[in-house]
Amino acid sequence: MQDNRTMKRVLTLVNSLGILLGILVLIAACKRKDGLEPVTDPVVEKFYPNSGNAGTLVNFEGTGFPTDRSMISVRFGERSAEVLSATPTRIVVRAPEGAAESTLSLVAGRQTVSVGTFTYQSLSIQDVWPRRAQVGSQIRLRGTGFTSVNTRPKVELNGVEAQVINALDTLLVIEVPVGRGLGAVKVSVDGRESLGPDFLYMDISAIKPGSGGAGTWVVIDGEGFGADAAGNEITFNGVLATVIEASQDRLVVVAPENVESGPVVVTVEGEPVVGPAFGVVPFPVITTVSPLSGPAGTEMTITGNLFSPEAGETHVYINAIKVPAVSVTEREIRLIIPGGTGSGPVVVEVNDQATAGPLFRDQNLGIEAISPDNGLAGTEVVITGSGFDGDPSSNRVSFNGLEAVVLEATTTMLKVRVPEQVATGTVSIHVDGFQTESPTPFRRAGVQTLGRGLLDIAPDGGSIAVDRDNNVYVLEYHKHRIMKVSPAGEVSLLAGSSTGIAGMADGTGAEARFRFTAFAGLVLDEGQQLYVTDPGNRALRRITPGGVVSTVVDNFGGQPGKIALAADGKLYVSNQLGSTMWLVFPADRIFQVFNGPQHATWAANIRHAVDAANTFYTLTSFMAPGNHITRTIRTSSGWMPESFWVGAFFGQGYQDGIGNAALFNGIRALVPASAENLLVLDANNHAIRSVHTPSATVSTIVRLGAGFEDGDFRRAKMSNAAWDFAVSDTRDAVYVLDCGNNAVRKIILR
Amino acid sequence: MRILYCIVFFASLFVVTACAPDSDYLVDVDYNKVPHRIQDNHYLSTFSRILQLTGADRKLDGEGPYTVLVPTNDAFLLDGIGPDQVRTLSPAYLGRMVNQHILDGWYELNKLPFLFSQEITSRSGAPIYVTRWVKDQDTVLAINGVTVRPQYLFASNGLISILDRMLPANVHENVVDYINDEEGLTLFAQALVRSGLDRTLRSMTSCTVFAPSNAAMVAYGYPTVQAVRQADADELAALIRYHVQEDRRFVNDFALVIDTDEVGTFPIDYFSRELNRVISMPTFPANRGTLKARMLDGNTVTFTYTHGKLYVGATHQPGYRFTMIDIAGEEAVVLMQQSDYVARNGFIHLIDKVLKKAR
Repeated sequence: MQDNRTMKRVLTLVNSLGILLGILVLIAACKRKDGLEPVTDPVVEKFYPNSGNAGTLVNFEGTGFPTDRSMISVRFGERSAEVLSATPTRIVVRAPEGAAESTLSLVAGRQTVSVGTFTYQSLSIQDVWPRRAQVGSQIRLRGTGFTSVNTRPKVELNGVEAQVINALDTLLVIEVPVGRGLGAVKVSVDGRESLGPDFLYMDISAIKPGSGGAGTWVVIDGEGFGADAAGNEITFNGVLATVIEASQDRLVVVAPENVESGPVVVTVEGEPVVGPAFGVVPFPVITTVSPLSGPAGTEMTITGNLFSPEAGETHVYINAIKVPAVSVTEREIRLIIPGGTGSGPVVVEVNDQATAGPLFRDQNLGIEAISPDNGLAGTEVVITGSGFDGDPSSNRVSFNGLEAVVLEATTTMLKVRVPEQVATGTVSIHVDGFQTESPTPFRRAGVQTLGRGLLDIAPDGGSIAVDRDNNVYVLEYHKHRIMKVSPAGEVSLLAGSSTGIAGMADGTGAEARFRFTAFAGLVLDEGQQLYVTDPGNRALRRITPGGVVSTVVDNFGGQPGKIALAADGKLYVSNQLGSTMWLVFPADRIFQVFNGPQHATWAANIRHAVDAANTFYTLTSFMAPGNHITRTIRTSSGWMPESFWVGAFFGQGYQDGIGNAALFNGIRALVPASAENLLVLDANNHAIRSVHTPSATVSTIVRLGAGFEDGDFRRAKMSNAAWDFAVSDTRDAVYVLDCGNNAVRKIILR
Repeated sequence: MRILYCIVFFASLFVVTACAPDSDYLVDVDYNKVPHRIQDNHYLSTFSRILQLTGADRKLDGEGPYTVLVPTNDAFLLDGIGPDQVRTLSPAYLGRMVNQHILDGWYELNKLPFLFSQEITSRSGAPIYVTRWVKDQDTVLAINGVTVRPQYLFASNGLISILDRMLPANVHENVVDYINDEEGLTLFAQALVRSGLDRTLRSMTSCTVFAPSNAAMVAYGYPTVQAVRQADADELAALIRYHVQEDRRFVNDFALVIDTDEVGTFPIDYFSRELNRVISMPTFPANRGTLKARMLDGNTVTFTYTHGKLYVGATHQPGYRFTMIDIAGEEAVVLMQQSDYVARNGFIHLIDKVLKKAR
């Protein structure tokens, strides 16, 4: 019994103790971790880098590191480092300011571990490679102490600061700056400086001649060359050449047999210096020689190509007698006729390659210049030269074979009137049995006026088209009608109200009604039918050559603007609102082709163009409207607008050039002239400009004065208010709708 | 005895009560912690989504500190990752990628020295490379060639830096491994083997490889692996040595040191978000500059860097192009979306043409 009780007590006690033990376990398990993390001794297995400067990140790898940054202290000598990262296996610190060698110690909790030594790098340059190099090439500096948190390292070569291309704590890569001579390499970091070995600049300043062929002796001037022939290796576009003579600043070599155009490279001690390209050139080309005859003392100009401007490389011979040149450019040679050479060919020789030009007559009679060198029948032209007769009737002048009237004459000047029926061609003069010809042809060109006083063109807009027979169609928008102007200048009504009444009616001639605005546009298709947009009626109308008007489309989703015809016969109509372009497929189906740049709407009162490759040229009303052209290209992924394709971002003016370097002032119409040329009506410059579309190069076809005058291009004028133009079928004339002068202006280009 | 039981019972109750954590009934959320700060910015929503999917958001809710490099939504789009695509990516990939963007610690990168490619280890264990430099009087900070926006977002347990491009999830041990793995470089990989230069590259401790794409190798005259195998090994070696640089250079490192003072119209590329691909403009008003650099064989190439701003829709879009002009004067384009691949011993950029040493 007693035993049983004792047994029970013992069991109860054991139970209670078990429960208490369980509770203790619970308490232990439940206890927060704070401060009770199992403390193991931190072990640093490695640290890196073991050298650097203030700011260098130093990694300690090992085990048993606390993860609480506040429990870690890393000391570089006496200074504490900022701890950036603490994980059980890695600690990262930022090296504090310091100098020379510092003992590293890691304090984690109550444990201090001595880690090793960190060396503060003093600034030094240990190696520079290569020790000689050309401007623009790269050299590498190996050393220490390039690290700074305050500044970039600065490098000078012989006193000239170099651009640092790459910077690591023990390596700097620099670009050799423009400089000369031999001088020390200097690195500065944070006010400290270190001098390295001397560096020698290499350079090829000139090769002479710069062009020629196999066997040409070429002199290479520069610096840093090897002092003897064997110390230099010279190649012409990779082909090895023979060295004749060598010094540190001059080499003479012979262009090798299989020479090719390309850079001349001199290599010294494995270090190349790339010089200018040596051109293997074809023979020179002579285009014109002016004058082709004349007395001693007259200046002769030879134009052509592949002349060498370098002194001593180009020689001119007249009848095999050498004549010194006054000036030589790549395309022009000027010289003074010495007289007494006798008649014979003009020969130009460039680096021993000779080309024969036209025959020079050693006589007094000669033409130097014709002014103007273009014009129409009746234009008065002044011919200057020599050997003329002071009596007008003793000089016989002809333009392309047609005899002209000589109005005035001196021995050096003739004033003549361009004959009727003139065509572009050579001017020739016969005096006293001698004959001479103009070096360049006289161009039939100029401006004529059609329909002035007979038309009623609105001052601020309209449209124009020209057919195969050079009949011109003029849209008088405020009169809601289209007029026809014959080549002779007779004006008749083609279609629309004779009294200017607006409406909507199909029919023939005066029966038809339109509701035009300044946005209305005209275009003529291959079948000589006119298509005209009728903004007020939201319609596209077709007019036959006989004046029969029909409606092609009357349901545009907005007011149509100008219209353009693509090479494939499709019509593209701009939408006045937004930036949509509509395609009207031959019948009456309308497609929305694309949206323009979202930031801009079309200037839909400006004629747009579509070229043979279906590329669109438009004006947008965004930023400097009228002064830059947007090009929209069809790509595999859709229409890609290219805003500011040509013309300035801002501002206006007159400047030929490429892309945005070109300036316009008030573009009013764009017309494709060929697969690669777009013509531009640049109204405030009174000019027709041309854009070579593959290169975006803008040039000027003709630029007139402001006002009203017909005649050659030097004299002719037109108004600022030119609003449209059309190119003749034969591409030899453009017809400008000169609203300011209420006339059609025919600009004859050739 | 009962008393003892009572004591034990009440003690148990006390213990159980004391043991119940506060959080069971009161959650004290710190909305200033890193995941919440990221979540607060709608333009970082893709990364935030990835944090949630990978569970990294819970890890970043800890004490920290963490430095998190967060690519914007647009940055992810550059690599074809839109908010909808995130779910389709493998969790393992996402996990690696996230860890590559997290640094354990408080890294104020703008306190680093002015040096290129300073190595820091990310949570993934792989290195990331930080450049701090001065360009046109401005201090520029870049990670793996990606410019870091100058402002941090500060969180109570860390720092957030914003990136305009995501960091690649995978860092290869060696550039040769990367080239072998890249399906667009099979011909070049074969050329490395044939020339024996794979061993050279493997042993280099730092390098940059400008690897011609398969299309470039085909255009150059190596249309098949077979053709490469039969090519002259020395010739191939000479060619490849002209495609390797001794230093590590991200494409952007060139941008930092090239003065673009030439103004004109040049070809330029930009990434179209609408079309989700790179668009090339044949001529566009832009600034350009050049820099010569020496390749492993001692010959030089000229790097060109062109940059401009395009109007795309209603916004400005940066456009740029890096090219390399070889000795022959021909220009190879460094492919915008296939550059800045990282291996531990160097970087790899794909180019669209083989570089030539003679005309």
